[in-house]
Amino acid sequence: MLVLSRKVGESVIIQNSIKVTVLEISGNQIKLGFEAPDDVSIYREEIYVKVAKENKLASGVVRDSLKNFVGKFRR
Amino acid sequence: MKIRNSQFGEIEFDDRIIISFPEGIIGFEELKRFIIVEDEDFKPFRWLISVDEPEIGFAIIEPSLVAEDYYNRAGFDQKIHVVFAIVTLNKDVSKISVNLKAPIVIDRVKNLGKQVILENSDFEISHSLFA
Repeated sequence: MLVLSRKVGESVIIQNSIKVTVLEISGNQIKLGFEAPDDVSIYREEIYVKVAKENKLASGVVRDSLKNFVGKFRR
Repeated sequence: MKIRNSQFGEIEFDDRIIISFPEGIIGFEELKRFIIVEDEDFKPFRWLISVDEPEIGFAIIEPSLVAEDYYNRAGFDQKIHVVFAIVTLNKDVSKISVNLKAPIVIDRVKNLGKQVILENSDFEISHSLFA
């Protein structure tokens, strides 16, 4: 892992087009600002992991398990 | 093109309906091509099925059927985007949920798909359909 020290107001540039700036530090929390092209996804890791888990659950669908449910939903 | 899925059997389709997902779907980053399969028996649900690995598929639904004014609240433009929410099925109907936090967003014009996480929204990853 690359480790860099930055002060408030300082930034790092990633891949020439993504800029991450340290905006604020208070206690053990850091506020980061991201400037990146629209097609770059930036997510909090724990939310990303949760979504990946939910997707794994959802991908194991059994088509027939929807059968009972469809009627209920249409009602 | 033809793919085979153990639940749907053989699915034959025109290659032009393939939606390209350059980043895959979260947790399935290696799957870059999907098709949407309409299923008369299961309306309003549809299936998002991987072309690369046809056993991988998701039940999907238009989120606006679940959450009022979803397009506006989530900041999508209906003229450009088609949005679907992934449904997590369960034998116990009360546990069936919809992922409103991370919808599948398809650019109609470019035929490109992406799963987007709505970071600063109140939508839930596991929104119960019958709560």
